[in-house]
Amino acid sequence: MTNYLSLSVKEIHKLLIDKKTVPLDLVKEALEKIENSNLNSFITINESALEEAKSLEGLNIDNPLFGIPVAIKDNISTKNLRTTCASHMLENYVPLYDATVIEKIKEKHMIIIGKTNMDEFAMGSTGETSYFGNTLSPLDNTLVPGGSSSGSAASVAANIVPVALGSDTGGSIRQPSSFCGIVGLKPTYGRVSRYGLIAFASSLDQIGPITRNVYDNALMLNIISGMDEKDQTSSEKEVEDFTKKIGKDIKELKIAVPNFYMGNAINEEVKNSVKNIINLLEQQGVKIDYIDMPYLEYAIPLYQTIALGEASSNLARFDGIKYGYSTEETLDIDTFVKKTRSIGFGNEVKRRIMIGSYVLSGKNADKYYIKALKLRKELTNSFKKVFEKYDLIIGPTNTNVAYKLGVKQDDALKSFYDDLLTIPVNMAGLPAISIPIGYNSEKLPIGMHIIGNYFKEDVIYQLASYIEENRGDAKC
Amino acid sequence: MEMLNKNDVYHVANLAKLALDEEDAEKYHGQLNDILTEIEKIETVDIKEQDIMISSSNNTNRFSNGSTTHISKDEVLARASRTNGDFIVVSSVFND
Amino acid sequence: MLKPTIGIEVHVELNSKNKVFSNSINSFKEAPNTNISEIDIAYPGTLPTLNKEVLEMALKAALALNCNINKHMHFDRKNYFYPDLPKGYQITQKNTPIGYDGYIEINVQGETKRIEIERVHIEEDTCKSIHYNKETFLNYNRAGVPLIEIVTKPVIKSSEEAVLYIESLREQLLYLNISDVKIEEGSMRCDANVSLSDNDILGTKTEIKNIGSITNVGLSIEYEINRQKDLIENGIKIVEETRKFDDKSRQTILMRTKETGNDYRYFPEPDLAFVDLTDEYINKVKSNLPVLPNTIRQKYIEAGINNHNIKTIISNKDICDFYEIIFDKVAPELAANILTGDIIKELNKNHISIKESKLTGEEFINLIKALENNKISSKQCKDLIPLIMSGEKVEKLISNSSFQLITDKTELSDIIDKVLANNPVSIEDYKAGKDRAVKYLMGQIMKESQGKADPKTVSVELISKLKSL
Repeated sequence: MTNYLSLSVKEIHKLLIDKKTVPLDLVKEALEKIENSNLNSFITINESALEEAKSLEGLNIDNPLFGIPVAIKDNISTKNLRTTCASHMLENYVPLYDATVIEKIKEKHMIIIGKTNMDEFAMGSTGETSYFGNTLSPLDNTLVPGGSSSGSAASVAANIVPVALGSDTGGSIRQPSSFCGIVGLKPTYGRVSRYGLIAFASSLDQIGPITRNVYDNALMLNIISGMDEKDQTSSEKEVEDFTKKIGKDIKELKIAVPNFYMGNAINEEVKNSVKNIINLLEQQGVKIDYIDMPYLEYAIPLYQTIALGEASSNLARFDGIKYGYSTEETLDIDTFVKKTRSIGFGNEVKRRIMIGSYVLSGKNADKYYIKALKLRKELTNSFKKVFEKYDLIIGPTNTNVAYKLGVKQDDALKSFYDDLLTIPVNMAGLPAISIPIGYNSEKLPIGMHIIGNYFKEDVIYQLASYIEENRGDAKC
Repeated sequence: MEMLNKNDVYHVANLAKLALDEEDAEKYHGQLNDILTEIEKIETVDIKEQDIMISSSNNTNRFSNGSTTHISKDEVLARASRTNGDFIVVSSVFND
Repeated sequence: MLKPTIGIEVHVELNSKNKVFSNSINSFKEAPNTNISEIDIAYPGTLPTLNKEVLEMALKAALALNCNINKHMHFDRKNYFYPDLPKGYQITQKNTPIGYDGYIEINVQGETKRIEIERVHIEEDTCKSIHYNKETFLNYNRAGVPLIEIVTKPVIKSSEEAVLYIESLREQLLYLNISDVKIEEGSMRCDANVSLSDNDILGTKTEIKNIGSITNVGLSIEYEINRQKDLIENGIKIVEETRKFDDKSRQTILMRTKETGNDYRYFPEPDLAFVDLTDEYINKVKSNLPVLPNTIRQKYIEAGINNHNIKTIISNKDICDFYEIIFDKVAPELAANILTGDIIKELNKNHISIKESKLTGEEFINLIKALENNKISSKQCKDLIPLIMSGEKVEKLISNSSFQLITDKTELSDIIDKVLANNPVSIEDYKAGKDRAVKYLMGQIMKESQGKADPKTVSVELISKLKSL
């Protein structure tokens, strides 16, 4: 079996151009790898993938992603290809339409290999809330791969596919990328259309690319970005080439490190790893300041209020009447809906929907939800102030590295703590990436978090690719 | 300090249209209270900002392009739980 | 003394081309579940978009109802479960209704009263559900149809005022061309809130939902006022309830007791962009508003048209549109009489609207002019009407010899003589000074001549003959 899919997109593209391989062979490689894999990173395989790859024969290779196999997180709507959100509720749901990002990747002739496993309805940070069983980490099967884009991250880290799409509401692209030692970007809110992304929290969700290197990530962002008339929150901002600043001199960049991000909550080895990078950059002449940023510590309650409030509303459509799972029994409509939802949804989802309903209910709405929206503005003001003086904010992506499966099962709060450092970015709508910067003493990957100003993904990639090139550590 | 009592749990489950039995209610009672204790921090934090931020998108005056999308009746009914060939059918509760 | 306070909520379906938050065609009269997009049925991952035409129609309504306009708007989610609500929430406007603090004038027993309007806002309609035999049949064609909701302040004081309000409102909306406002068909739905009190503090109100006709608005409110009066006078407390009006028994019937404050968990809709209305845009829409019924009514009163004709013309927008075209060009009262009389009669006979007939403004003008100039008699006019309504031209018809008026004195003389011979009593009456005898004889002469005698000539000849008798 070939191992072309462990190469970068750039390298695979060259093989295709040089006719050393064809899309059909790439797809075959991916499918074989999946068969031999115990990771459970896919929920549905695209039965037409081979056929689609074959149909590319003879076509002009018109773009860098032509013929490249891609894995899609299973909360993104794919026409005629089952989309489950890793939930019993949508176990047999087959969409009638493609998400806008899917239309875009099909236009570029990428081949969808399948739909990847995730936490149910993107609610979780370990992959363990999936109805289809949890995804294993390719680095160590006893550890969590992270979540909620578990399958996407695992598939890329395991070289099954070179690229995957994930979604990020509070860290669901960045955290698993960090745990798996790969690259994951959450774009600026509005950069990528949400049409077809099964909503968790409307004001926080974004679809983003997961890859093994920074350049591939930028290539993917190029094709999935852009204004979409069907999504009124999508931005009219021009899509330029996100690779354009890669390789450019970083000396002029001004970087801020919030003290909270290097504080007591962070594991020592993780901190040291980040400090090494800071030293590396300072040696290059980059200005790096430690700063105080207020309100970062409110990340979790903000998320629990706003994300769960919105989620309780977004998941209200799952009533078993129009589509999805429904209880067999003939009951009065109220009991029918309650029974359907109680069986169709897992515990984490149910818990979150109840919290969400609570914070929006009656007098609570002002006390919690509206207040949270004001606090959100304060936090965003905080970020904006920093970006007046600095180009980027950096720190660790997570407080620690990947941990054992089963650790967070019954702790209702713990499932949120993984996202402590990543949530503020979603709250403000800023773009951010996680890149691997080294390993801890147990050889587990450590991820660095780089936050950019609105629509400045190119600057993020500029710094990220520099670090990638120059950190000197062994690659995963 | 307990945020929710047992009745509140049932009330919130009803809002969320979830069925809870005694055991579930017991289990969720503790878990929800843990989370709500965390959320209390929102109420107690002192801030100056009076404006709300719905999202970072400040898009204004976006209007749809007027083109239509359409799904056939068969496709709609094929996905529904219960139909009679023309309508989607559910059991009634109210008679209005 | 117990006095009623009434508030009315009206939902109006707008007749825009597309639905309000999706691009589906705005129509639901086809076969069930055949006019649906993935957005209407709330498939996972779908998002709403705002239809500009709907926004403009709502703005027109708000302006016509003299509202203040909310220039910076957003939408809100109203969260509740019901099988006819596909998303489990309705997109509406709670905090920023497009119009607020407006009014409409009604004429109560000769006095003009302003009914204050609290708000006008945009929202989406639910599915149509049919209840039968313990089951509910859902038709998603209607999901997402644009609605405006118009809510009065609790300022209506009687069932009479309520009916006048609904009539006035309906007329206003009809003339804006934004809805066909047919209560019986459901494109206009009325709910009324009724409470009684003997002081300034409002009593507990009950809600009467989905009143099926304007008449029933009056009847149901009147019934409810009396029902509450009876209860209060017997010491029974009024409970907040939702009731409906039963046509057959002519009573309001309990539907359900209102759950203590439906918890709608409103929050701002994050999926839709804000809407900013500039003064320029608002003024443009305002200046392009069609002429509204009250203005038209005033014009007709000043032109001397009688009230009955005014009412008939204005209450039928198609007739009014037609009349407006010819208004300046002919004697208005004469035209009004013919239009509201023979023309409408002919339309009803054939079960068509004036738009569906082939009658043109031009030919109608020609007809009236011919009548005015005595080229034809009123009887002949009547005969011409069905013909011009099928598209024939007045001039051509008149030039046909059988339509010519008889002006030949000899011919007329014979006819007059015949009539005089048959009516000796009338001759005596004339001699006795009774003028109406002349009128009667004229009538008989017209009858005898099958309407073809030229009235002017006949008149002169008749008087001369009578004088000589």
